[in-house]
Amino acid sequence: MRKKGQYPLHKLDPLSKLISLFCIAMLAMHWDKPLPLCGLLLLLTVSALSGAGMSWGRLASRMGYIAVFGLPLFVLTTLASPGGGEYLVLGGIRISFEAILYAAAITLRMFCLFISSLIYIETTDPQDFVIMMTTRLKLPYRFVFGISMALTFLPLLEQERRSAAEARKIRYGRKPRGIGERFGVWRENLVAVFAGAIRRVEQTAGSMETKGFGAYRSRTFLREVKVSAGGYALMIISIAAATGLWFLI
Amino acid sequence: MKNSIVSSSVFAQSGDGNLAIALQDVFYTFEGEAGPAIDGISLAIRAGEWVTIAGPSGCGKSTLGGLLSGYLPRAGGGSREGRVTVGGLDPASAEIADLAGVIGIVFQDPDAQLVQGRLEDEVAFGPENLCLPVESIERRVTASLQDADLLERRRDNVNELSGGGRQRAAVASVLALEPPILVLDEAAASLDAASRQRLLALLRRLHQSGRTLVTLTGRLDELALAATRLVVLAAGRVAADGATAELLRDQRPLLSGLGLLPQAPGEAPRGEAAPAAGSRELQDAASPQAPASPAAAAAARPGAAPLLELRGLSFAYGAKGRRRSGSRPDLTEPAVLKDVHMRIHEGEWHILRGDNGSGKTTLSRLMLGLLPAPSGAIFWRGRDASRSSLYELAEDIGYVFQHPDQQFVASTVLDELLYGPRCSLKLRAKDATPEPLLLKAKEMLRMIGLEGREQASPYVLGGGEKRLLSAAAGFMTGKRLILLDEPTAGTDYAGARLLSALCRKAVSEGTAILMITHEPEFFAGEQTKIWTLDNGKLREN
Repeated sequence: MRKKGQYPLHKLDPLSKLISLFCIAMLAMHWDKPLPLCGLLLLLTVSALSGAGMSWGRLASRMGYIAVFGLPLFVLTTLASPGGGEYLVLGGIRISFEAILYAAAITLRMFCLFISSLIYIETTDPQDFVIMMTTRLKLPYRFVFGISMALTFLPLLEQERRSAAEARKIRYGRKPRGIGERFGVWRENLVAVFAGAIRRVEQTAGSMETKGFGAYRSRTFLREVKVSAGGYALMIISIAAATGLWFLI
Repeated sequence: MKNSIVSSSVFAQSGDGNLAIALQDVFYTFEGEAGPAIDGISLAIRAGEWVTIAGPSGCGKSTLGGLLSGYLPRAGGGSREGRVTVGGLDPASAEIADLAGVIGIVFQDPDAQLVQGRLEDEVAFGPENLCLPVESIERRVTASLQDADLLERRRDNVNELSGGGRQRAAVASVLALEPPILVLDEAAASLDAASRQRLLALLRRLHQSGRTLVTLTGRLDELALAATRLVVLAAGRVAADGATAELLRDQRPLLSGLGLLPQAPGEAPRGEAAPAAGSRELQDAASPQAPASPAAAAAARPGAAPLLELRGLSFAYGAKGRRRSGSRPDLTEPAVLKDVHMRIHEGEWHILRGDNGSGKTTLSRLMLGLLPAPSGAIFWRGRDASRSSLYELAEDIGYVFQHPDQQFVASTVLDELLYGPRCSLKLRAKDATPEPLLLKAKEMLRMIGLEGREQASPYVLGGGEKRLLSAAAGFMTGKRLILLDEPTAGTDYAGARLLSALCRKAVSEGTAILMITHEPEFFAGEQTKIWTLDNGKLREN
């Protein structure tokens, strides 16, 4: 089994991946038919599995999160879209095929944007991101660190959520029964994650300050992150493909 | 050492004469708290001095460290009165760059100060903020990692390090700032004996090079006693201040009474923690010579069925390692545990020790199903544990986490103790707690020295108090086996004695205990079985 760092997307620099991400986002926003968006989602799924080294299980669980929002969005858009074309009658509700296709496109767009962002987060070292954005794009480092900390915090918060859930299971000492108990445990977990996040943000901010963060307008970096030949190739292919597909489809 | 961080610049004369740190009538109160955590402290520390500030859990040590670093009240809120100067600067109002160049602090919880992913990024973070040239940063990073014995792991993620490793990473990240004043708040709490010795040697070198060192601690161990001066805190005030050797000679009753020294044979335990007059059980438990229970005696019978049995357990992280059978190590992943055999019976007290990163926590997490157990290797009451869910195992097994904050589930100290028993009794939120249970919880609070703090948040307690509370919560629910992960880290001697009494009482009632600790000496004299985990191999001592 390969280690994560050995997968191709992990080896690429954050800037070239960001430009590729931007191209994917542009296409996803441009298309309003399900078919090309299905193709884009398939490409992203293959990239997540073979390019980013994500497991099927991990990808499926992340898809599950977005499905919580995606499915209601699909249903509501279907019902709310203006009629036209052929009608399908389901339990007294008349739905047009156009509305279904439009709702599917909106939902697939949501999945594409989410999965592409997820791949970026999974394959990008937050510190590399900071270095690249600060040294190449000359963005203010305080701002970039804010984004970087968010990238760093996501897995940490997930880890804390897991720990909090484990602790509750152990302390609960038995399987919760009924909807009331299950909801109570779920609510307690949620509160624990929020409380933990606030505590961690406060501690981290204080700790960063004691190490001189924000002392000067600029800062130096120990490491340098370079754009490799593969990175340049990804940028060129992404821009060319996005431009071509934009006009073709 | 050519690259050592201690060979760099030393503290320059502060604006306050030769004083590195000066506090004058300082009071500090946390937001939402009625009483002050620091209650009128005046203290002067000369440049180049090495001072240990010692006191029992909750006496205000960490608060004092926060005030010196500027974390309090700048980021942590609360209100401060009185005058504080560190290297001639007021930490509450000084410029960030000026302050970072004067004082560095290693906090008690390493996870609270590790903000980057990769270890070398973590250590470079401070020097980078101070706009140092890359060559200088590289030199500092290498030297700091070398001093913390982490040079070989510079490209690893800090989250992959063990608890002790993360603590050393936190030390390295502060050393890289080369601060003339260095404050260490229980910095050795999670370190094994070898790492402690290395830290002690490093502190000696730093002191010899002219740095001002302030070590905050809850126990007067070798590291604390290496300081030339000792300041004793109690309830937010200075209780004693003088040369370490003199205070050790003249103030031994005070130091022992505060739990800062190990208990001498025949000495009574700390007053506030002594069992209640009416609590015969706890009085009995306070004595290591307490008679063994029928359950413990039964457990000692040859042929008695074990509660927990490990049969050739091997484990490696990674998907393949999780799937494979217990007796066939996967050669593609480094094995954390190798062919581990162990039996735990009712009423037995096992101690598992080993160096940082030796796999102790991994083993305990496997036992409870917090990591996917290989099939045919772990048996709970004769049943393969890999076929049981976490809920099923948690009905009988309790777990006290290494980091108490991770296991707190309630908003008050009292509710924290009552959570488990209330769940067992299937009480709803609106149901009143039965009186006997309430009395038991209050008795437990009194025993661990938290009487009167029932309504306080568990998160605002001192480090040692948090550990005791988390352990006490584990003992409230009559489990058959309780796993405790590093329960003595950062506690004072009195806290360790209280923990010992809790364990002894539980064992006398038939509960089995597996305690992971790198400080087995705290439990010397108890009837324990001691195991050592070394490079994934377990052996009984």
